[in-house]
Amino acid sequence: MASPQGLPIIRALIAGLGLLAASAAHAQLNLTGILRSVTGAVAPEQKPQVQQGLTTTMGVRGIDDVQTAPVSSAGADIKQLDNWVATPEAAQAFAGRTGLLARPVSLGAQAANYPGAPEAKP
Amino acid sequence: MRRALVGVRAVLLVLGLLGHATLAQAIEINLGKVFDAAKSVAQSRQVANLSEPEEVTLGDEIASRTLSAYPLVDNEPLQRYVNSVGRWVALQSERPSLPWRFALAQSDQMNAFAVPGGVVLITSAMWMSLQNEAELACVIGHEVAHIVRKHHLALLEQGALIEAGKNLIDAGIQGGSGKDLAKRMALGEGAELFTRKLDRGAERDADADGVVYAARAGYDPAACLSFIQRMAARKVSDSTLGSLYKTHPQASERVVDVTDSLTRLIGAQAGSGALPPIRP
Repeated sequence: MASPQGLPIIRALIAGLGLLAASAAHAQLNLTGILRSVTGAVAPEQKPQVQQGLTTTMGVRGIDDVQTAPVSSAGADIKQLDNWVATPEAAQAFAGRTGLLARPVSLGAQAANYPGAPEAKP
Repeated sequence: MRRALVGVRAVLLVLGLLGHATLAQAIEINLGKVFDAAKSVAQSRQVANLSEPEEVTLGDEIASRTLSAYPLVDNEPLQRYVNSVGRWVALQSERPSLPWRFALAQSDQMNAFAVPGGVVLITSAMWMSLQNEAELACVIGHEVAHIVRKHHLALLEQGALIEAGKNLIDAGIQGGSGKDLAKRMALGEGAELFTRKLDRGAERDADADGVVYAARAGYDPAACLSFIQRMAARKVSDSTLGSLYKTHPQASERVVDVTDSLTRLIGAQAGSGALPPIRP
């Protein structure tokens, strides 16, 4: 549980910043066209279909609608995420079934003259 | 004492903004709002120090709002598969015990999002661009790194400071209500804040970590390079990349970073590891 001191911070952030995600999405959507429908924009050939006959119209709601998006549906999305969670044990079993072997890997020091290195300042 | 000094400096910062506005026009200051804003500045200093449960609570709210615009892909086997790969990759990170959740969301924009607390969203367009499971691991690894390193919490902290400054100015200039402020944020200012890129260093770190996590998980880390090279080969004007380039550096720059990471790997090398097909 969140500590009592932290709760006001969370509430303030949720009120002010939480809605930004949705508004950001809208901003992006508006760039590529309002009233866009996302039906089968992708046509999988070998991969499983990500959506079947589902049409979702986005970007038509007013901004106030976004701010007051029903909490119930938002909460339902989070519950859905919880339903699909893979436990650590399940993930390890998945890796075992598919022959993935964990290995100790780290990153060595960056070469001073790597291609993206900033130019030395005088 | 040091903390108090930081707080004082932060308040001075926003008061400085207020002073600037005062020069522009005569202001009727709402002292209550001024104090509220100063308080929020002080609180914002603690954002990066949220406890893990607090981070998860915050992340769930942000994810909920995001999913109201990007609906989840309605395919349970696929979502469970993405969670299996994602959790396996996240187990290789420095925060393996976070409540990691992964999901595909519908959008024709190629992008992936990291939400504080362990939620990673991948758009359906991004999903369709992947050629194998190792590339999926690389994309997930990059986003997992943002969460492990709390990059977005740091951004939120900056945002909270900026917003507190705006609050102060608004209190004097317009006496605007919180609702007005929220509306303006949603209409542009806030969206710009949320969608802006993380700094170059944060993206470079996430690319490097993503390569490491994928390699630790047993995948061929070269998949990270082949994926980003394909992105770089696409035209920048490609409309499906608009969202990606709002939140990430140009793919051509990332090719350089990922290539560098591959050369620095210890314990694995490009070409070693698995390149399994996508297989839900």
